[in-house]
Amino acid sequence: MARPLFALVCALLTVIVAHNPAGASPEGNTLLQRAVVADDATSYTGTLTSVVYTSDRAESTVVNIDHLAPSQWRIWYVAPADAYGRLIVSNETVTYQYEPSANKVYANNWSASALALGDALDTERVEKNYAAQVGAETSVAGRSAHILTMTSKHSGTLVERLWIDDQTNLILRREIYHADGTIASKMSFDNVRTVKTLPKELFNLSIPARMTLVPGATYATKAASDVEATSALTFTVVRPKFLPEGFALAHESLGTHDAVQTLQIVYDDGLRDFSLFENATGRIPKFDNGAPHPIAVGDQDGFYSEAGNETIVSWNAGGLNLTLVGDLPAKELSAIGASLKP
Amino acid sequence: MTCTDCRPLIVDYVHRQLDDVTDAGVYTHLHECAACMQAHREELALGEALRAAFAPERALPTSVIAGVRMAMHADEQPSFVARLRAFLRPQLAVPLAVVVMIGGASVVRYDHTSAPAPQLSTNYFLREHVAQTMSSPSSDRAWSDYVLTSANADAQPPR
Repeated sequence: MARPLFALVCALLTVIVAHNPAGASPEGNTLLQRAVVADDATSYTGTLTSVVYTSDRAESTVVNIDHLAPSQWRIWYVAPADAYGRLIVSNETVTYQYEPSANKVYANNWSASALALGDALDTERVEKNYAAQVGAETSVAGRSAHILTMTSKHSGTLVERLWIDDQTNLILRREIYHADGTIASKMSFDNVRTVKTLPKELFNLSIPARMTLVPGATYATKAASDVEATSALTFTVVRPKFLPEGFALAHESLGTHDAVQTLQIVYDDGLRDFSLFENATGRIPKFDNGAPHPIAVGDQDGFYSEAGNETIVSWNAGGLNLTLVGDLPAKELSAIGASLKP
Repeated sequence: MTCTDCRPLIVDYVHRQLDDVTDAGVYTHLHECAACMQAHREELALGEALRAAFAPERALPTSVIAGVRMAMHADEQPSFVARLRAFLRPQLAVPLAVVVMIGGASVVRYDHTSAPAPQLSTNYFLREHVAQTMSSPSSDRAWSDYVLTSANADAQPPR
């Protein structure tokens, strides 16, 4: 009598484990969904520190941030030194950058580039690629929170941890990890206070006396389809035959910079992403962040460097310059590049 | 501190992410508990193994190799003699002679198609990547805004 019962229990356990690989937690996924949109419903004021790490240095921003839900932002930079005093006021459609050192207000119409913030989380893709586990209770900036751990279902590596406010679901702290387990970046509130409202004048998009409104930098426009992006190209587009597990095409855009037509193809797995840039210059770009390192990309000689928490790999092939930018190791970007055959 | 308290904190302890009090508590417990010390050693070994697996191979200083390869790939500027020789190539010289005989040409225009292609910069690629991915759930708004607004000083008015 005991053996059939034991077999039944084992079978049930097998079904449960098979249905829930790598310990994925439904409550973890629900918590992530709530956290991503939490600032649509919660106004707050606080100080936020962000740090990005490369192999030999760290770069940091410190901002005082006021947020009036759902979409008003006022961000004042305390660090780094080159941004000290910079003020950004945004309604997520228009962003004004007040630069006192130049007496200028730069206007960025980011919505024209389809860069709207707060895109819905691709829940299906995140659940397919990541196990979300709710961890221990802790506190950040004096607020009680729970840690949400995101682990890749493909590699088993820790990719991201989020400290989520118990009361509001705001992300109070986030750490993102490199594939080798080292920390890639983190952001954390030093202090934060949720408020019912904030004075609307804080978020006025106005031009102070003695300051001039000028257009800011423009960015490539997201194409409605890959056909739209590639139909105007003067060269033949190439696409990678290899992608890291879980990654898929997200969108494409076409831009022109210094009279160079450049196609950008973005791939993501729900949390991480990388871009492939293609242009017909056949020239390696100038590396702005120090001397690049050599790296083989298939049969081609390429170069790579780190910029913030992104890795940049560039090489020439078939008359094209091909450049990959993403939060993946150089070796993984090189493997993607090797599958491109112009 | 118990083993149940200590185990979830070992990863943070290894990465020096704990506050001073918790850090000291983990340190003390590790030196009192062989099982947790073993878990700590395994965490260290895993980190080292991963670092070793992903470490770039370095036979020469990378800056030296990069410099050599950049020099190899740099566009060579043709010498004056080479440019003159190209200018006098028959397919150019014959039409030019015709033009001179007619007496209609006094200015020779530089053929812009021989100019090297513009060289982009990695900052351009980085900013375009940040711009197109700032709606990602992993994006850090303060950092992304810093990267993008830092480009505004160089921005040219639209033509």
